[in-house]
Amino acid sequence: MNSGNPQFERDFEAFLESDDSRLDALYRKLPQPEPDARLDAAVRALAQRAVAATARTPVAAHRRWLPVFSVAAVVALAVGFAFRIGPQLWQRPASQPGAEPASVPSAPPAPAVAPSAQKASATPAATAAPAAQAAAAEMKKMENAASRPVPRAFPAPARAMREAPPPAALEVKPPMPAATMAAPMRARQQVDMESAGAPAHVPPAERDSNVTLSPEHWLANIRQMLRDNQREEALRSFEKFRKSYPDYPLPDDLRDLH
Amino acid sequence: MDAAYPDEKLMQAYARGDLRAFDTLYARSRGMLYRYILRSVADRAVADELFQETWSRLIAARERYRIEAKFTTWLLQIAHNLVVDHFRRSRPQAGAEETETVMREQDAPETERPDHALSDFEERRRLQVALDDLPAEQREAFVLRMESGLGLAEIAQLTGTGQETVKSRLRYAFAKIRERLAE
Repeated sequence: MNSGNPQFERDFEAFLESDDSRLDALYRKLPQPEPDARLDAAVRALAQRAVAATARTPVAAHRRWLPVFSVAAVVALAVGFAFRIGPQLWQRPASQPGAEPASVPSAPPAPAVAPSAQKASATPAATAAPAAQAAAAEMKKMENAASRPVPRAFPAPARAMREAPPPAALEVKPPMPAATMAAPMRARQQVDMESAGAPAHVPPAERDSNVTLSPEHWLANIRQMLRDNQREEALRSFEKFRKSYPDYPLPDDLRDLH
Repeated sequence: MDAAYPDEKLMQAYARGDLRAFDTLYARSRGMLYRYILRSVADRAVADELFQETWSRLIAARERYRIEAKFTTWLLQIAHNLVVDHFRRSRPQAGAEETETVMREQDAPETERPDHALSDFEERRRLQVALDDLPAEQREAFVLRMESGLGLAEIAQLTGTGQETVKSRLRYAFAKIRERLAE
Protein backbone atom coordinates (compact mmCIF):
# COMPACT_ATOMS: atom_id res chain seq x y z
CA MET A 1 0.00 0.00 0.00
CA ASN A 2 1.41 3.33 -0.98
CA SER A 3 -0.60 6.35 -0.02
CA GLY A 4 1.05 8.55 -2.63
CA ASN A 5 1.38 11.20 0.07
CA PRO A 6 5.05 12.03 0.67
CA GLN A 7 4.32 13.41 4.12
CA PHE A 8 2.54 10.21 5.11
CA GLU A 9 5.43 8.13 3.84
CA ARG A 10 7.92 10.20 5.84
CA ASP A 11 5.80 9.91 8.98
CA PHE A 12 5.37 6.18 8.50
CA GLU A 13 9.11 5.65 8.07
CA ALA A 14 9.65 7.69 11.22
CA PHE A 15 7.13 5.49 13.00
CA LEU A 16 8.98 2.36 11.87
CA GLU A 17 12.26 3.88 13.06
CA SER A 18 10.72 4.75 16.44
CA ASP A 19 11.16 8.43 15.67
CA ASP A 20 7.48 9.36 15.83
CA SER A 21 7.68 11.02 19.21
CA ARG A 22 4.14 12.43 19.09
CA LEU A 23 2.45 9.11 18.52
CA ASP A 24 4.79 7.45 20.95
CA ALA A 25 4.09 10.04 23.61
CA LEU A 26 0.36 9.68 23.08
CA TYR A 27 0.60 5.90 23.30
CA ARG A 28 2.53 6.20 26.59
CA LYS A 29 -0.28 8.34 27.92
CA LEU A 30 -2.71 5.51 27.49
CA PRO A 31 -3.43 3.71 30.72
CA GLN A 32 -0.51 1.44 31.53
CA PRO A 33 -2.25 -1.48 33.13
CA GLU A 34 -0.14 -4.00 34.98
CA PRO A 35 -0.85 -7.31 36.62
CA ASP A 36 -2.07 -6.95 40.17
CA ALA A 37 -0.22 -8.21 43.23
CA ARG A 38 -2.26 -11.41 43.37
CA LEU A 39 -1.26 -12.27 39.81
CA ASP A 40 2.37 -11.45 40.53
CA ALA A 41 2.33 -13.72 43.55
CA ALA A 42 0.73 -16.53 41.57
CA VAL A 43 3.38 -16.35 38.83
CA ARG A 44 6.26 -16.21 41.31
CA ALA A 45 4.82 -19.16 43.16
CA LEU A 46 4.71 -21.10 39.89
CA ALA A 47 8.36 -20.32 39.24
CA GLN A 48 9.35 -21.24 42.77
CA ARG A 49 7.48 -24.54 42.73
CA ALA A 50 9.09 -25.51 39.43
CA VAL A 51 12.60 -24.87 40.77
CA ALA A 52 11.85 -26.68 44.01
CA ALA A 53 10.46 -29.68 42.15
CA THR A 54 13.57 -29.87 39.96
CA ALA A 55 15.83 -29.69 43.00
CA ARG A 56 13.91 -32.41 44.84
CA THR A 57 13.75 -34.97 42.10
CA PRO A 58 16.99 -36.51 40.91
CA VAL A 59 15.49 -36.82 37.45
CA ALA A 60 17.44 -33.82 36.23
CA ALA A 61 20.73 -35.41 37.27
CA HIS A 62 19.72 -38.63 35.55
CA ARG A 63 18.90 -36.67 32.42
CA ARG A 64 22.34 -35.13 32.42
CA TRP A 65 23.99 -38.54 32.74
CA LEU A 66 21.73 -40.30 30.28
CA PRO A 67 23.79 -39.41 27.18
CA VAL A 68 26.98 -40.54 28.94
CA PHE A 69 25.45 -43.87 29.89
CA SER A 70 24.12 -44.31 26.36
CA VAL A 71 27.54 -43.72 24.79
CA ALA A 72 29.20 -46.07 27.27
CA ALA A 73 26.69 -48.81 26.52
CA VAL A 74 27.22 -48.46 22.78
CA VAL A 75 31.01 -48.59 23.19
CA ALA A 76 30.77 -51.68 25.39
CA LEU A 77 28.57 -53.41 22.83
CA ALA A 78 30.94 -52.50 20.01
CA VAL A 79 33.98 -53.79 21.91
CA GLY A 80 32.20 -57.02 22.79
CA PHE A 81 31.15 -57.50 19.22
CA ALA A 82 34.70 -56.84 18.00
CA PHE A 83 36.16 -59.38 20.42
CA ARG A 84 33.64 -61.98 19.38
CA ILE A 85 33.66 -61.42 15.63
CA GLY A 86 37.10 -59.86 15.17
CA PRO A 87 39.21 -63.06 15.22
CA GLN A 88 37.04 -64.59 12.51
CA LEU A 89 37.54 -61.54 10.34
CA TRP A 90 41.29 -61.56 10.96
CA GLN A 91 41.48 -65.25 10.13
CA ARG A 92 39.58 -65.07 6.89
CA PRO A 93 42.29 -63.50 4.72
CA ALA A 94 44.71 -66.24 5.82
CA SER A 95 42.44 -68.94 4.45
CA GLN A 96 42.03 -67.32 1.06
CA PRO A 97 44.00 -68.56 -1.91
CA GLY A 98 47.28 -66.84 -2.52
CA ALA A 99 47.70 -65.77 1.06
CA GLU A 100 48.28 -69.09 2.77
CA PRO A 101 50.95 -70.82 0.68
CA ALA A 102 53.48 -68.11 1.40
CA SER A 103 53.03 -68.41 5.13
CA VAL A 104 52.58 -72.13 5.40
CA PRO A 105 55.95 -73.77 5.72
CA SER A 106 55.20 -76.91 3.81
CA ALA A 107 52.82 -79.69 3.19
CA PRO A 108 52.61 -82.29 5.87
CA PRO A 109 53.79 -85.72 5.00
CA ALA A 110 51.26 -87.82 3.24
CA PRO A 111 49.16 -89.64 5.74
CA ALA A 112 50.35 -93.12 6.31
CA VAL A 113 47.79 -95.58 5.23
CA ALA A 114 47.31 -98.56 7.42
CA PRO A 115 48.69 -101.67 5.87
CA SER A 116 45.46 -103.50 6.37
CA ALA A 117 43.66 -100.85 4.41
CA GLN A 118 46.29 -101.05 1.79
CA LYS A 119 45.68 -104.77 1.54
CA ALA A 120 42.05 -104.26 1.02
CA SER A 121 42.43 -101.68 -1.69
CA ALA A 122 45.64 -102.67 -3.37
CA THR A 123 45.56 -104.69 -6.49
CA PRO A 124 48.81 -105.83 -8.00
CA ALA A 125 49.55 -103.73 -11.04
CA ALA A 126 51.13 -105.71 -13.78
CA THR A 127 51.14 -102.98 -16.36
CA ALA A 128 52.19 -99.34 -16.31
CA ALA A 129 48.72 -97.91 -16.91
CA PRO A 130 47.09 -98.91 -13.62
CA ALA A 131 50.22 -97.82 -11.84
CA ALA A 132 50.06 -94.47 -13.54
CA GLN A 133 46.45 -94.06 -12.48
CA ALA A 134 47.39 -94.85 -8.92
CA ALA A 135 50.22 -92.41 -9.12
CA ALA A 136 47.89 -89.71 -10.42
CA ALA A 137 45.50 -90.33 -7.57
CA GLU A 138 48.34 -90.13 -5.14
CA MET A 139 49.50 -86.91 -6.70
CA LYS A 140 46.09 -85.43 -6.23
CA LYS A 141 46.11 -86.49 -2.63
CA MET A 142 49.46 -84.88 -2.10
CA GLU A 143 48.42 -81.69 -3.75
CA ASN A 144 45.39 -81.56 -1.54
CA ALA A 145 47.55 -82.05 1.45
CA ALA A 146 50.00 -79.42 0.30
CA SER A 147 47.30 -76.85 -0.18
CA ARG A 148 45.70 -77.56 3.15
CA PRO A 149 46.74 -75.00 5.77
CA VAL A 150 48.76 -76.26 8.65
CA PRO A 151 46.75 -76.13 11.86
CA ARG A 152 47.69 -73.18 14.00
CA ALA A 153 47.55 -72.45 17.67
CA PHE A 154 43.95 -71.38 17.24
CA PRO A 155 42.18 -73.03 14.34
CA ALA A 156 40.42 -70.92 11.81
CA PRO A 157 36.71 -70.97 12.40
CA ALA A 158 34.82 -73.55 10.45
CA ARG A 159 32.64 -70.91 8.91
CA ALA A 160 35.59 -69.04 7.49
CA MET A 161 37.00 -72.27 6.16
CA ARG A 162 33.73 -73.16 4.50
CA GLU A 163 33.37 -69.75 2.91
CA ALA A 164 36.93 -69.61 1.63
CA PRO A 165 37.17 -70.41 -2.06
CA PRO A 166 38.98 -73.63 -2.94
CA PRO A 167 42.69 -73.15 -3.31
CA ALA A 168 44.05 -73.20 -6.84
CA ALA A 169 46.13 -76.28 -6.00
CA LEU A 170 42.96 -78.30 -5.66
CA GLU A 171 42.26 -78.15 -9.35
CA VAL A 172 41.95 -81.65 -10.72
CA LYS A 173 44.13 -82.20 -13.69
CA PRO A 174 43.80 -85.11 -16.08
CA PRO A 175 46.27 -87.87 -15.33
CA MET A 176 49.38 -87.77 -17.41
CA PRO A 177 50.77 -90.83 -19.10
CA ALA A 178 52.97 -92.76 -16.76
CA ALA A 179 56.05 -92.35 -18.88
CA THR A 180 55.86 -88.59 -18.99
CA MET A 181 54.64 -88.23 -15.49
CA ALA A 182 57.29 -90.05 -13.53
CA ALA A 183 60.22 -87.71 -13.91
CA PRO A 184 58.47 -84.44 -13.18
CA MET A 185 56.62 -86.14 -10.39
CA ARG A 186 59.82 -87.22 -8.75
CA ALA A 187 61.28 -83.81 -9.11
CA ARG A 188 58.24 -82.31 -7.57
CA GLN A 189 58.25 -84.80 -4.77
CA GLN A 190 61.84 -83.90 -4.11
CA VAL A 191 60.96 -80.26 -3.94
CA ASP A 192 58.05 -81.06 -1.66
CA MET A 193 60.26 -83.04 0.61
CA GLU A 194 62.90 -80.35 0.77
CA SER A 195 60.35 -77.68 1.42
CA ALA A 196 58.74 -79.90 4.01
CA GLY A 197 61.87 -79.52 6.05
CA ALA A 198 63.23 -83.05 5.87
CA PRO A 199 65.58 -83.75 8.74
CA ALA A 200 68.97 -82.18 8.02
CA HIS A 201 70.92 -85.06 9.55
CA VAL A 202 69.73 -87.57 6.95
CA PRO A 203 72.34 -87.92 4.18
CA PRO A 204 71.00 -87.10 0.75
CA ALA A 205 71.91 -90.55 -0.49
CA GLU A 206 69.74 -92.17 2.13
CA ARG A 207 66.81 -89.95 1.41
CA ASP A 208 64.08 -91.61 -0.54
CA SER A 209 61.21 -89.45 -1.52
CA ASN A 210 59.15 -92.55 -2.15
CA VAL A 211 58.64 -93.11 1.57
CA THR A 212 55.96 -90.48 1.44
CA LEU A 213 54.08 -92.26 -1.29
CA SER A 214 51.51 -94.95 -1.20
CA PRO A 215 52.80 -98.51 -1.72
CA GLU A 216 51.41 -98.70 -5.25
CA HIS A 217 52.98 -95.43 -6.20
CA TRP A 218 56.26 -96.37 -4.57
CA LEU A 219 56.37 -99.64 -6.47
CA ALA A 220 55.57 -97.84 -9.71
CA ASN A 221 58.56 -95.60 -9.13
CA ILE A 222 60.77 -98.61 -8.48
CA ARG A 223 59.67 -100.10 -11.79
CA GLN A 224 60.45 -96.82 -13.51
CA MET A 225 63.93 -96.80 -11.96
CA LEU A 226 64.49 -100.28 -13.29
CA ARG A 227 63.42 -99.20 -16.71
CA ASP A 228 65.73 -96.21 -16.49
CA ASN A 229 68.65 -98.51 -15.66
CA GLN A 230 68.90 -97.18 -12.13
CA ARG A 231 69.03 -100.62 -10.64
CA GLU A 232 71.03 -99.83 -7.49
CA GLU A 233 68.76 -96.99 -6.61
CA ALA A 234 65.78 -99.19 -7.34
CA LEU A 235 67.11 -101.88 -5.06
CA ARG A 236 67.73 -99.47 -2.22
CA SER A 237 64.29 -98.10 -2.57
CA PHE A 238 62.83 -101.62 -2.78
CA GLU A 239 64.59 -102.56 0.48
CA LYS A 240 63.15 -99.57 2.18
CA PHE A 241 59.76 -100.46 0.81
CA ARG A 242 60.03 -103.93 2.29
CA LYS A 243 60.93 -102.45 5.64
CA SER A 244 58.13 -99.98 5.51
CA TYR A 245 55.50 -102.43 4.26
CA PRO A 246 56.67 -105.88 5.31
CA ASP A 247 53.22 -107.40 4.84
CA TYR A 248 52.47 -105.81 1.51
CA PRO A 249 51.93 -108.50 -1.17
CA LEU A 250 54.57 -107.87 -3.76
CA PRO A 251 53.66 -107.93 -7.43
CA ASP A 252 55.06 -110.75 -9.54
CA ASP A 253 57.52 -108.62 -11.47
CA LEU A 254 59.15 -107.31 -8.29
CA ARG A 255 58.87 -110.32 -6.05
CA ASP A 256 62.29 -111.65 -6.98
CA LEU A 257 64.06 -108.33 -7.02
CA HIS A 258 67.17 -108.31 -4.93
CA MET B 1 20.79 -8.81 40.00
CA ASP B 2 22.58 -6.37 37.72
CA ALA B 3 20.10 -4.25 35.77
CA ALA B 4 22.34 -4.45 32.71
CA TYR B 5 22.31 -8.23 32.79
CA PRO B 6 20.73 -9.44 29.52
CA ASP B 7 17.32 -11.08 29.64
CA GLU B 8 18.69 -14.12 27.87
CA LYS B 9 21.33 -14.73 30.56
CA LEU B 10 18.73 -14.28 33.26
CA MET B 11 16.54 -16.86 31.60
CA GLN B 12 19.41 -19.33 31.46
CA ALA B 13 20.21 -18.65 35.10
CA TYR B 14 16.62 -19.36 36.03
CA ALA B 15 16.66 -22.56 33.99
CA ARG B 16 19.55 -23.64 36.22
CA GLY B 17 17.45 -22.92 39.29
CA ASP B 18 18.28 -19.29 40.10
CA LEU B 19 15.01 -17.88 41.40
CA ARG B 20 16.40 -14.36 41.80
CA ALA B 21 17.10 -14.29 38.07
CA PHE B 22 13.45 -15.07 37.45
CA ASP B 23 12.32 -12.27 39.75
CA THR B 24 14.45 -9.77 37.84
CA LEU B 25 13.22 -11.06 34.53
CA TYR B 26 9.63 -10.97 35.65
CA ALA B 27 9.91 -7.42 36.97
CA ARG B 28 11.31 -6.28 33.64
CA SER B 29 8.73 -7.97 31.45
CA ARG B 30 5.47 -8.09 33.39
CA GLY B 31 4.07 -4.65 32.38
CA MET B 32 4.93 -4.94 28.71
CA LEU B 33 3.53 -8.46 28.48
CA TYR B 34 0.39 -7.65 30.37
CA ARG B 35 -0.40 -4.64 28.21
CA TYR B 36 0.21 -6.56 25.05
CA ILE B 37 -2.24 -9.22 26.16
CA LEU B 38 -4.82 -6.82 27.55
CA ARG B 39 -4.76 -4.64 24.41
CA SER B 40 -5.14 -7.75 22.33
CA VAL B 41 -8.06 -9.32 24.17
CA ALA B 42 -9.58 -6.19 25.77
CA ASP B 43 -10.78 -8.15 28.79
CA ARG B 44 -9.03 -7.94 32.13
CA ALA B 45 -10.09 -11.35 33.37
CA VAL B 46 -9.04 -12.99 30.14
CA ALA B 47 -5.81 -10.98 30.17
CA ASP B 48 -5.09 -12.19 33.71
CA GLU B 49 -5.68 -15.76 32.67
CA LEU B 50 -3.54 -15.53 29.54
CA PHE B 51 -0.82 -13.64 31.39
CA GLN B 52 -0.51 -16.36 34.00
CA GLU B 53 -0.69 -19.07 31.38
CA THR B 54 2.10 -17.40 29.40
CA TRP B 55 4.44 -17.48 32.37
CA SER B 56 3.38 -20.98 33.23
CA ARG B 57 4.38 -22.19 29.76
CA LEU B 58 7.64 -20.28 29.91
CA ILE B 59 8.47 -21.90 33.25
CA ALA B 60 7.64 -25.35 31.93
CA ALA B 61 9.83 -24.82 28.88
CA ARG B 62 12.73 -23.15 30.70
CA GLU B 63 15.17 -26.02 30.09
CA ARG B 64 14.52 -25.92 26.36
CA TYR B 65 15.30 -22.21 26.08
CA ARG B 66 18.26 -21.45 23.82
CA ILE B 67 20.06 -18.15 24.01
CA GLU B 68 19.86 -17.76 20.22
CA ALA B 69 16.24 -16.69 20.66
CA LYS B 70 15.72 -13.20 22.04
CA PHE B 71 13.91 -13.56 25.31
CA THR B 72 11.30 -10.86 24.66
CA THR B 73 10.45 -12.36 21.28
CA TRP B 74 10.13 -15.80 22.84
CA LEU B 75 7.91 -14.54 25.66
CA LEU B 76 5.68 -12.55 23.32
CA GLN B 77 5.46 -15.50 20.94
CA ILE B 78 4.04 -17.67 23.71
CA ALA B 79 1.56 -14.93 24.54
CA HIS B 80 0.71 -14.41 20.87
CA ASN B 81 -0.15 -18.10 20.47
CA LEU B 82 -2.39 -17.96 23.51
CA VAL B 83 -4.13 -14.83 22.25
CA VAL B 84 -4.72 -16.45 18.87
CA ASP B 85 -6.13 -19.52 20.60
CA HIS B 86 -8.38 -17.29 22.67
CA PHE B 87 -9.74 -15.55 19.58
CA ARG B 88 -10.36 -18.90 17.94
CA ARG B 89 -12.39 -20.00 20.92
CA SER B 90 -14.38 -16.80 21.26
CA ARG B 91 -15.57 -14.00 19.07
CA PRO B 92 -12.91 -12.16 17.10
CA GLN B 93 -12.61 -9.04 19.20
CA ALA B 94 -14.31 -6.90 21.75
CA GLY B 95 -16.47 -4.02 20.66
CA ALA B 96 -15.35 -0.46 21.01
CA GLU B 97 -17.87 0.22 23.75
CA GLU B 98 -16.63 -2.65 25.91
CA THR B 99 -13.05 -1.63 25.33
CA GLU B 100 -13.79 1.90 26.45
CA THR B 101 -15.36 0.58 29.62
CA VAL B 102 -12.30 -1.52 30.31
CA MET B 103 -10.08 1.43 29.66
CA ARG B 104 -12.01 3.56 32.13
CA GLU B 105 -11.70 0.84 34.75
CA GLN B 106 -7.96 0.64 34.35
CA ASP B 107 -5.94 2.65 36.73
CA ALA B 108 -4.26 5.66 35.24
CA PRO B 109 -1.93 8.08 36.99
CA GLU B 110 -3.75 10.75 38.90
CA THR B 111 -2.28 13.51 36.76
CA GLU B 112 -3.45 11.77 33.62
CA ARG B 113 -7.05 11.27 34.69
CA PRO B 114 -9.45 12.54 32.01
CA ASP B 115 -11.04 15.02 34.35
CA HIS B 116 -7.67 16.68 34.83
CA ALA B 117 -6.94 17.16 31.16
CA LEU B 118 -9.91 16.81 28.90
CA SER B 119 -8.02 17.35 25.66
CA ASP B 120 -5.47 14.73 26.58
CA PHE B 121 -8.25 12.39 27.49
CA GLU B 122 -10.01 12.97 24.23
CA GLU B 123 -6.86 12.32 22.31
CA ARG B 124 -6.10 9.15 24.21
CA ARG B 125 -9.69 8.03 23.88
CA ARG B 126 -9.49 8.45 20.16
CA LEU B 127 -6.26 6.50 20.06
CA GLN B 128 -7.78 3.77 22.14
CA VAL B 129 -10.89 3.60 19.99
CA ALA B 130 -8.76 3.57 16.87
CA LEU B 131 -6.74 0.71 18.28
CA ASP B 132 -9.85 -1.22 19.15
CA ASP B 133 -11.30 -0.72 15.70
CA LEU B 134 -8.25 -2.18 14.03
CA PRO B 135 -8.38 -5.72 12.75
CA ALA B 136 -6.66 -8.04 15.18
CA GLU B 137 -3.56 -8.58 13.06
CA GLN B 138 -3.02 -4.86 12.51
CA ARG B 139 -3.61 -4.07 16.17
CA GLU B 140 -1.22 -6.78 17.27
CA ALA B 141 1.52 -5.54 14.96
CA PHE B 142 1.01 -1.98 16.16
CA VAL B 143 1.02 -2.89 19.85
CA LEU B 144 4.12 -5.05 19.45
CA ARG B 145 5.84 -2.17 17.72
CA MET B 146 4.85 0.44 20.30
CA GLU B 147 4.92 -1.67 23.43
CA SER B 148 8.09 -3.69 23.09
CA GLY B 149 9.92 -1.83 20.33
CA LEU B 150 10.23 -4.93 18.16
CA GLY B 151 11.40 -4.48 14.59
CA LEU B 152 9.74 -5.78 11.45
CA ALA B 153 11.83 -8.95 11.39
CA GLU B 154 11.08 -9.78 15.02
CA ILE B 155 7.36 -9.17 14.65
CA ALA B 156 7.37 -11.30 11.53
CA GLN B 157 9.12 -14.13 13.33
CA LEU B 158 6.88 -13.85 16.36
CA THR B 159 3.63 -13.85 14.40
CA GLY B 160 4.79 -16.36 11.82
CA THR B 161 4.36 -14.03 8.84
CA GLY B 162 6.58 -12.30 6.32
CA GLN B 163 8.21 -8.95 6.90
CA GLU B 164 6.33 -7.34 4.02
CA THR B 165 3.06 -8.55 5.50
CA VAL B 166 3.98 -7.02 8.84
CA LYS B 167 4.97 -3.76 7.18
CA SER B 168 1.68 -3.68 5.32
CA ARG B 169 -0.29 -4.29 8.52
CA LEU B 170 1.60 -1.52 10.28
CA ARG B 171 1.01 0.86 7.39
CA TYR B 172 -2.75 0.26 7.50
CA ALA B 173 -2.81 0.60 11.27
CA PHE B 174 -0.76 3.78 11.18
CA ALA B 175 -2.99 5.33 8.53
CA LYS B 176 -6.21 4.55 10.42
CA ILE B 177 -4.89 5.87 13.71
CA ARG B 178 -3.72 9.10 12.10
CA GLU B 179 -7.08 9.49 10.44
CA ARG B 180 -8.91 8.96 13.73
CA LEU B 181 -6.67 11.37 15.59
CA ALA B 182 -7.17 14.04 12.93
CA GLU B 183 -10.95 13.99 13.20
